[in-house]
Amino acid sequence: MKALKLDPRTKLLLCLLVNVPIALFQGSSWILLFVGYALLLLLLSKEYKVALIYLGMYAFFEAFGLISSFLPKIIVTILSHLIIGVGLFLPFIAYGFLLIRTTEINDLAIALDKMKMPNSVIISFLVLFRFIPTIKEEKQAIANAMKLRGISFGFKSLATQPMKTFEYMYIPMLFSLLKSGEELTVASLTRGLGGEQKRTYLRTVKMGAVDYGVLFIFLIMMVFVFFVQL
Amino acid sequence: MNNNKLEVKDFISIGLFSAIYLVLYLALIITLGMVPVIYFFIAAISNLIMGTIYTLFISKVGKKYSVAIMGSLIVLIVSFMTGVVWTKLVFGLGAVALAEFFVSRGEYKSFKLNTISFVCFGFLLFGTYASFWILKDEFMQMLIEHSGTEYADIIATFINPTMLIVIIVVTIIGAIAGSFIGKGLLKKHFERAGIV
Repeated sequence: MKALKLDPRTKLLLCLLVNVPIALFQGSSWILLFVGYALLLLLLSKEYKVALIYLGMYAFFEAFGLISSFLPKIIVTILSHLIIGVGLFLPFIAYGFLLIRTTEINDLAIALDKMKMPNSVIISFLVLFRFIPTIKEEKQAIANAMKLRGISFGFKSLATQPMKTFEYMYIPMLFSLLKSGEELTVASLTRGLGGEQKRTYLRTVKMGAVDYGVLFIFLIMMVFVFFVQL
Repeated sequence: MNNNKLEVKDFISIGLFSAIYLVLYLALIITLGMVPVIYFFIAAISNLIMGTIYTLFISKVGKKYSVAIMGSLIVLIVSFMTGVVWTKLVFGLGAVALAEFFVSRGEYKSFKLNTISFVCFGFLLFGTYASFWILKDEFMQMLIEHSGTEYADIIATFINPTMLIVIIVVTIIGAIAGSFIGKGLLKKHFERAGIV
């Protein structure tokens, strides 16, 4: 069977729509229906690992509630923010996983373009993801350069001289990123980014029958639960 | 900087600064997010660091809507990564709108208005905490049904009104301090190098 491939717009819409049932039926077990739906979509997209991770988070949350009475009070208190953070956002995270794990940045950019988003947002968005790996590389390069001068960025230096360590790491990083930003500007301007013409894309992103079907089933579920709850 | 319209150069700067903001914020969450009480003050701690980015950003780009675009990108990406709860979107985009309003009032040059704007901007990821308080009742009800009242009481130790006020005040102080740190570092390093 082929993996399910949804339009990014469908997934964005699902992420927003899931707020409605959760706000309306908060606290009832009907929420599980919507969590299950997200899991089903993840499985149909062949994202077994992500589905497993999500189930693990759910199991942790449930198991902690069960064994909490055997644990000392202090441990429960210490872990409480994790419990809240995980428990409160669990249903939302299911749809977040669906969006992030099954969407490529290119497709998302095309979808944003089709949603009539301004160019400024789309270009900034693409540059953002382009730079995340660069930041990691820069960090390593700066750490190596600083080692040459006898400055290390370990736990020890952070504990003894937080301000200085921070400054030595942070300022060179900002400098080098500004520099590579300038280079990227020149490179992309010569390739015609920001021209008058509308961009064309190699990939096709289209709302198909499957997308409408997925959204339709979601709406049916919402209406169904709404009437059962009444 | 004669024309006040965003160009490709500025789009790239916006993306760049949002990327640094996101990476640093996620690094903070991963390292400090596990520590119990400190978790609630990550916004304040991050403001100390982000003040420099923000100051550099507005002195480098400083055009209409630049802050708004950067802020909304950060809010949207973080919310879509951790689950889109309406509170996150409402608080985040509200904070960004206020920040843009104040910073454009001072034409991106007045330090006082930039600081006020950064205080608003510092709340852009506040929605995560706010949802703890706003969605508290339903969540507690669920916990009580699941595992009993005692458990729910312990979990709710930190979710009280005093804590909320403390978080807000500390976040504001962090933002003001961050703005001053940013100003100092900018003067010490970037102005001397002729970048700004």
